Amino acid sequence: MNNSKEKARAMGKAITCFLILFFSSNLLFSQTLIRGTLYGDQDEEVNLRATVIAHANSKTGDIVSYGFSNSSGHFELNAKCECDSLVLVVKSLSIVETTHTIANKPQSVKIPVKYAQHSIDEVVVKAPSIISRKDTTTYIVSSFMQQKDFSVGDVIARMPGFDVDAEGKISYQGQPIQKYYIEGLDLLEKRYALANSNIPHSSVASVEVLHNHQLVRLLEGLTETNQTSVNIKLKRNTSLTGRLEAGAGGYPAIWEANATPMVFNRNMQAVGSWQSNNSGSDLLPQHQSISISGGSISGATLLKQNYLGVPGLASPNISKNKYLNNQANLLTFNFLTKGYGDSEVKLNGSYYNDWVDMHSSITSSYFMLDTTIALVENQSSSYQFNSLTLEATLTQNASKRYLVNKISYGGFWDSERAFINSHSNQSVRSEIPHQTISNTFELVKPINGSLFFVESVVDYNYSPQALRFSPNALMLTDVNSSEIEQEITNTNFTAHNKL
Amino acid sequence: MRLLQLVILLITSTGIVGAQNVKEIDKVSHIFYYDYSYLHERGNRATEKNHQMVLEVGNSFSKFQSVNKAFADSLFALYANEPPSVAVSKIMPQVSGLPVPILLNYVVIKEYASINKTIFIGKTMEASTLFKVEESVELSWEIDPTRDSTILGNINCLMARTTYAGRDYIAWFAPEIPINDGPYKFSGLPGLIVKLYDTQREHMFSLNGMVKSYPKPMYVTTEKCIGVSSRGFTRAFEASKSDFIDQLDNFTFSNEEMKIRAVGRVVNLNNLIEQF
Repeated sequence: MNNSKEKARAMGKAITCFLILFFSSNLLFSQTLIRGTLYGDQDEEVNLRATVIAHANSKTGDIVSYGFSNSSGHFELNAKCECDSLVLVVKSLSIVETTHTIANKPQSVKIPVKYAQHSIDEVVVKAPSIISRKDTTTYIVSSFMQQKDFSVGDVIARMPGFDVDAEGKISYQGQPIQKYYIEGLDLLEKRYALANSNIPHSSVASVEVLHNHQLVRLLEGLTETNQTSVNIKLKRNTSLTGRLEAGAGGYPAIWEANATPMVFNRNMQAVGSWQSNNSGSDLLPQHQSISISGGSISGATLLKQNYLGVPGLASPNISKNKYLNNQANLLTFNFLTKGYGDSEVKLNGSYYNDWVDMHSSITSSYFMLDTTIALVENQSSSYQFNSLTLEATLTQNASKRYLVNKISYGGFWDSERAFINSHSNQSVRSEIPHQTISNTFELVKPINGSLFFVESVVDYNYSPQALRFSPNALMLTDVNSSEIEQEITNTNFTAHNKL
Repeated sequence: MRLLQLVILLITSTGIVGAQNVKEIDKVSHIFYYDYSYLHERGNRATEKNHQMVLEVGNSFSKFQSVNKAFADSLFALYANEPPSVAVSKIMPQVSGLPVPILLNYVVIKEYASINKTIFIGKTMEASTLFKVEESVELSWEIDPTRDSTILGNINCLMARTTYAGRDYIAWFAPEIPINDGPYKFSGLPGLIVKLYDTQREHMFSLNGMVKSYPKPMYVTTEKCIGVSSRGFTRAFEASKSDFIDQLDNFTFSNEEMKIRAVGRVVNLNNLIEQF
């Protein structure tokens, strides 16, 4: 019995205590009820929804309460504040911002307002143009493009950190890029200039720079690399894009044509291209697959050796498209498809045909005491290039194995002709064909915790080259012939295997 | 999967064609664009989607919807006087490729005259029926005076918190923009809400553009709607999912796995803003 009485008493105490606390807290944060009315010039009610904000002490003080006026201009605020005065700020898009200072006590106020139309500054926000996340830096293409740009290459050239040289080779922070991926697939290898100058920037969403990119997935985390690769992210997963243009003009007739259709999707990519011009655009960089990166030459098995040739001419130190007199045709086809288990099959074919004319004239005058001797030497050279390269590559880049096998064929049927006209006339002709077939094999496989590298390059070259002079320029020979012929045939077979 | 997308596209686009009878309620004076990122499935970051939303503000009303829906609506207003077959043939090519995402097939209209009154007109996955939710969304905002920030270059914002329909929200509002409005059903702060997200970051609206509008009309549909409560709409959405899954039975899928995935995607479509 006694016990329960004590309990009740304790409870009573607790309640009193609670009540005291409750009231005192209420005293601490006393509420000030403010009723107000907004009225206009003619003392009329203001029918709009204006915001009324009560700041403590000054206009920049904390917001202690806020409310909205109703259709007859009335508003009510319940300010919780210990301050001496309240600053009421009335805002709306259709009235002038009005400030009204009152004492912090319950009251009703009348605030005059003036009508005025406000407008808000327009702001259009663009996505951030460069985003860095871990080892990937993403450049948003639309932030860098300009009206005159056509290809993604034009835009890349403008992105900070990138350099694109005249041949379309891309460098990032001074270092040539290692791979040029399109949606993560390396279709064109070193011939990426073809894609870079022909994919319209409008179909590209972003350009990703992959820092410290390890090509061989097996070696990820095992060896460090400071090489950089570029990945082109397209706007759509499947897209058919490309370039189609033709131009002609002038006398003598000048033409330029380019048809480069491309298809990209997750499992298959294909790029075809036919380009033709006689307007000085050099198409050779899009054809040859030789490149130097990271201190090693790749694509060298397709490199052609010239043993013979006509006397060369010096090129002027101005950009090549200003003086190149060519008639070039390029036909390429590139196809890549994904197979089972991270494997890829790639076929690249390219045919290049070009006729380049070069003329040079050198006049040397020797001023003697009594006379002037002038020597004139004219040289007209024409170079004909015909070459076909075919490559088939099988790649498997899995976490357990890295395997690349590439079969390449290169055929060159080039010839050169020069007419040299000085004190006598001379003609020089050379036939410099070259054929090569090679197989490159590379395998990396972990066996018992160590990595085995197998590399094999088998290369066969055949070049029967010839050079003809006429008339006979070598006085020492007694052979009474109008022409001298020099022949050299080089056949070699190289096998280079490494474990 | 592609089939499912096609089905959803068809449904949403027929939904666009459905809404034709409109009346003008106000003139738009300001347009605010919000970037909206949201999840399809609760808690699954992989299902994150993005869409552009637009808040059109007039003198006495505001209207919040997907930009694609707003575009389709404006086309319907443009061809309102044409016979329906002509209008459809002109509008369809322009709106195909601009689908309205299935969770965003709604319009939220706020009436400024009566504080807190919002009208939500939306569709479930069964796109032929319009549902209308008229409610007074009373949000008690708590302004945190210690937190401020600057966004969009030069707009100063203050932070406020609230709770609505099962989620806690954080809003950043701009006192210098005297419009008591914001994305979706959110409003009632002394300034425009420029950023709003729930604490789980499953729905996030961020203002990314504001444009002065030439006075163009603001339309609202006069089609027949079924009046429901907010909770009722959520239930109707769940029910429409089951109906849709039943319908998937009638489609032929290349294999069983495809079908399971398609059904799974519908089942997991559960991240409406309101969670009851």
